[in-house]
Amino acid sequence: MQTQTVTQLAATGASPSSIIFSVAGADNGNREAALIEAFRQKNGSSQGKVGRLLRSSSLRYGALGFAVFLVAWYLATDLLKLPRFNFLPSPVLVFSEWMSREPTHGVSIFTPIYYEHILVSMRRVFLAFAIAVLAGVPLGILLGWSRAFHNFFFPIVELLRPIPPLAWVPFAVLILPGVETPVVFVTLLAAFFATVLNTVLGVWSINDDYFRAASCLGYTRLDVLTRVIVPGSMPFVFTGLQIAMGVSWFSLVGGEMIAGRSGLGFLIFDAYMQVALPNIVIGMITLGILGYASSAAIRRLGDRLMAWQSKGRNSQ
Amino acid sequence: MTRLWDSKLFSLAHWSRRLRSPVLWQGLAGIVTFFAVWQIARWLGWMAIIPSPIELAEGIPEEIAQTGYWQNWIDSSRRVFVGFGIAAISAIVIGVLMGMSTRLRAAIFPLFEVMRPVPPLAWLPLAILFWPSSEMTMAFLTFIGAFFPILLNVLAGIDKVDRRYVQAALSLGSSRGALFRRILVPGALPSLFTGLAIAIGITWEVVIAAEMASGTNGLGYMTWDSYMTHSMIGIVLGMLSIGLAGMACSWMMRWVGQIATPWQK
Repeated sequence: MQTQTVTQLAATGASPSSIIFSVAGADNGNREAALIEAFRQKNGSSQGKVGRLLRSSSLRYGALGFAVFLVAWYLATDLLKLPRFNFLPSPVLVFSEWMSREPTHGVSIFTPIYYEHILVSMRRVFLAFAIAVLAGVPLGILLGWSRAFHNFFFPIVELLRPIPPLAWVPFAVLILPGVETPVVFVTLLAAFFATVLNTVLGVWSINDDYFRAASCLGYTRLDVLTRVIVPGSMPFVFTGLQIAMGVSWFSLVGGEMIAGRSGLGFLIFDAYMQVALPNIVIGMITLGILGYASSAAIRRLGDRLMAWQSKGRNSQ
Repeated sequence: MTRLWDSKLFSLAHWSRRLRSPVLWQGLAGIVTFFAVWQIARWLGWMAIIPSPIELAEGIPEEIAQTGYWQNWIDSSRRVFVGFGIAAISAIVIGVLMGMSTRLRAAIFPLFEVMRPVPPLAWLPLAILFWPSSEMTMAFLTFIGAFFPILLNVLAGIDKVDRRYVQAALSLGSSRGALFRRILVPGALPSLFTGLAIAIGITWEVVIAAEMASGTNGLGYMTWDSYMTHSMIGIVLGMLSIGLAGMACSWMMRWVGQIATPWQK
């Protein structure tokens, strides 16, 4: 959780010194891991989630939370038909439509169109994510490695970064050809900046002693890059990638709603236009699942690549 | 509390030091090069759709002078601050309750974890259906965008509080109220302000998209309207205004955070 907060800080562009400071704080926290872990378990924190979930009491409370939510949703929309709530689809309607072989509004787990929307959205997100990572990580390493390069180019990055990706939509639609490229462009923007920024921070977080040791041992610049910088910045890069994946889905939905002709964002907005209410919720749930799954996949990949790291971290 | 006039902002030595540092000049050179390359590309006839920096410098003051430009700022800011304010209050209250009660946390946290990955904009159609006015719809969307980041950071802040402080306070005979006021609040504040700064950035992003999709005024609508009328200068002005607004709000949040937590560097 701590590393995440640090990088969220980074994502908003806090001053580097304050971020490095909090990184130092994170190390300090690891020393106390045993103590704090005990406190956390007593306090029931989110950390050590898997272990906690397996213990039955929290599982029971979690299930209770879901049940209360679903029952309240059902009561408000279906049974009591509270004012305003009666415009919303009820959970029963949504799930029966989602699981139906012959859905009234044409979208369920048995219809090919559902998977087409999913595939289109996923293709866009992964394409945008891949471009953002392939361009963002090298640029971030350069910006973090070379002072002069940083001083010269970072202000340009800072000039463009505050513009929210969705504000680029009209611009992108006019400048870029086709329907697909503007949506992908808008999706990759935020992911790109998150990757660049976290890679820079990752390089900065590497202990100077490693660079000194490397030059004492006669490493070439290439060796320094592959043996010091890349592994050293990896924890930050991966937190950056997680943020990047999250913001990709965020901007994708906006892009598809405003400028798309297909995909889950379009499905939701089209369902609204056609008054196919269950489809709105189906689209939302699907987006939530896909967003969660892709972030989890990156986290898993990061943990595997950084096996030396995971001992110190108590988040999964 | 630091006073405004004691801060770096009004220190002559600070500014003269910054003016003499090479970092500033290298950065300026970078930005100048960026605009120069853009301008030269336009002179060479590339990117004919995009206005050149000189055209922008001439056109933007005219656009700003048009009636209604500043009203857009007010409209968008109002939506941002209404949604953000409600999100901040409710996230802090719920976060503190979840931080203090294991059971409540076990009950609510998984539910929130499932709702959090749904992008805020995906709520737009339901929000339009549910809320009677478009103003409420947009405030609700900004609420959704801001709520989860603030909540997560409040929880992280409460978790970060050193348990030895709690033990020390308890063994010194602290009451529950004092524990809250003297240990929990100062311990969680830095993290809370991180969350607030992130959240206000997100609310600007959400409000822009909501205005584009369903608004009739505001900065997002202005940008969209410029697109409809193919006014490239209007689009760029909209983008710049939105970027500036988001940045100003984040700065403000961080500044308030620094004043509220003077012990943090």
